Amino acid sequence: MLEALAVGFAGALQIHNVLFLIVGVVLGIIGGAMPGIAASTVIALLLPLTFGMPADTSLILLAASYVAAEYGGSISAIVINTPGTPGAIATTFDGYPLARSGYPVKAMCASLVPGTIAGILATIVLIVAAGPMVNIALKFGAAEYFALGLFGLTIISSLSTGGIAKAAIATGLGLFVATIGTDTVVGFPRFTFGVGALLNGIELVPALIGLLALPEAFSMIEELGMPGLAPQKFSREFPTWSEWKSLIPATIRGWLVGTLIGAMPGAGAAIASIVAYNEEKRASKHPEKFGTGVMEGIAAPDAANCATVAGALIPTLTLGIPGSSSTAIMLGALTLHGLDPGPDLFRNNPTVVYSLFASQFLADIAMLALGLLGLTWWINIVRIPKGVTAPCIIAICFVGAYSVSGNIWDIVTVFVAGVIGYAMRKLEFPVAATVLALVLGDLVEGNFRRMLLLSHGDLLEFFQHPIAVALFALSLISLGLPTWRRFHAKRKAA
Amino acid sequence: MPQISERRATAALAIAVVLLSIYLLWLTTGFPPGRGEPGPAVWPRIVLVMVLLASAYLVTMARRRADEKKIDARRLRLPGVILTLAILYIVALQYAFFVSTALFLFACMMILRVWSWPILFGVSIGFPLVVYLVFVRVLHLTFPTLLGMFGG
Repeated sequence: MLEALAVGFAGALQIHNVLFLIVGVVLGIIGGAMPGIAASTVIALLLPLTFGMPADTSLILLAASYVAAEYGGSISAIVINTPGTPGAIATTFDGYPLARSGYPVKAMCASLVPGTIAGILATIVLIVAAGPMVNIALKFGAAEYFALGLFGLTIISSLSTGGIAKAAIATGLGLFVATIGTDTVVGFPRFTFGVGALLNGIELVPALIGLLALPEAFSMIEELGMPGLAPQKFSREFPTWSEWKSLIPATIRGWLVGTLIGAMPGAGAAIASIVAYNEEKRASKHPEKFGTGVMEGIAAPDAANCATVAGALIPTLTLGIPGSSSTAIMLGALTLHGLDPGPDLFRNNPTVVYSLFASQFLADIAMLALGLLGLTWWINIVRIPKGVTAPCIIAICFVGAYSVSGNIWDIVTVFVAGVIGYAMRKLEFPVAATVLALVLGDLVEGNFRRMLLLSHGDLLEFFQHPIAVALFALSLISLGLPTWRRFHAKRKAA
Repeated sequence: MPQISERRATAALAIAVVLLSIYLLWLTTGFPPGRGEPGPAVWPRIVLVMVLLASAYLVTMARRRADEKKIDARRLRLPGVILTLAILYIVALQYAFFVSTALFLFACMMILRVWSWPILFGVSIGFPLVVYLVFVRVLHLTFPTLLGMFGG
């Protein structure tokens, strides 16, 4: 294996491959940072350029842009509270507050460095343990995915700043909105009220952009309306040595979650980063500080986000099953070059496979170097006067939403979601709970129904699945623990 | 100074959510049954009942709560103006995306007291220009333009 990897590195380090790798990383970071352009969009746009290239160069370019786009999504999440890619949703929870509190460099470093390390570690897993990982991922059926979705939702218990009733309403709103549109099982239009544009449901990206970014713009505008507001100061301070050390466990946890969830077909970076954030908060000695700009709250989801790239490549390369929409396009690229993904790929084209593995390492390193170089450039955005930033954020939201499918309805979705998000903020409803529910809604409902279909309506059949039961138990603990802590603290205070 | 009671606003919103949930629950009675599975109505019902119960609880708690947090209505004036502008922008961009974007940015910055002419013109013209270069030239997206209305 080491010999094959050395050959892979030799191939990937050829001058033209290095050049395309850097081009891929730069385009990935820029594309990922633009709201509305997902990692899969970046890869899809680059795919036609690779037709005339050799197979290894083509895969290096696509893989490099995939790695970098997942990181790029975190840049806009930190700088303007708008996740550039769905995988960066959880980065907004602590990344943006830390940047706004005057430490944008620290926030960017807490995203970039753990993301790079987790990406490299996940690639090692991809090389060494792809087989066993696939076996675990294949054990995930409807019951397990349903339990995983519930587990992801339990994070609401820790986001409920305005009380559990408000969190339940916010979650319900997200879950309800996810049900709008044609039901995929029986083909029945739900809550569409005869509006044709609603038949396909509410587009996720415009809704997320509206809920997260527009309220931020309105809050900035609100502050501008108040007299006597002192201009905010921003530090260029890097994390201290003790802060770096505190990020190590978060990075490892994020890497493990990201690699495992990334390997599950259909789960994706958004779910991985949400679960990683949840786990980090649960493991933290100061969970109450999460959401205010805690560096571990940035490191864990970003590590998970970047680790999903290598994780998603595991079933793609070993079984020919794409782990995400981005790897589905890469699968297409493999087929275009006459390569057959699956066990035969390793036997018949080891050079291509190991060049791809080597390029993953190199792409992570290039991402770190270019990310650090661009750090001061990106943080300048937070220094722009709010009177300029706020209108630009609104316009970026509309352009980003429109770019998803070229539909004016998506702009209306951004606007409506923005107004709802702003009202929720004013009345202290946790917007993050709605966001999570929107992302996880389809996964939870779809697998809940599939599970009951497979068990002929027998709910108790769920308990025959040990992984699902373990995840369910963790969900209950996750929900109960903060409530018990609050109750205990109240009793202590009394 | 005009002020809005947060407690009352929350209670009013919760009552509206209760009524809306009841209406939506009623709508689910018209959904078809599933074939060998719970059907399209069950999951929305579970969600809506959860929302209904939480909202009812919120109404009860709002009635009991003594503290009176206020939302300063003055703070909402400027966001209200920009929201209205955003509605006009959405209507206009269906006909001329780039022109309306430039006008929207210019108007917003003026309202938000950005007085520097280079910034006003630079951002209003530069932003749509970057969008055009990235989304139209590179990504080949089509945005509505005034020329498009006349078959251009």
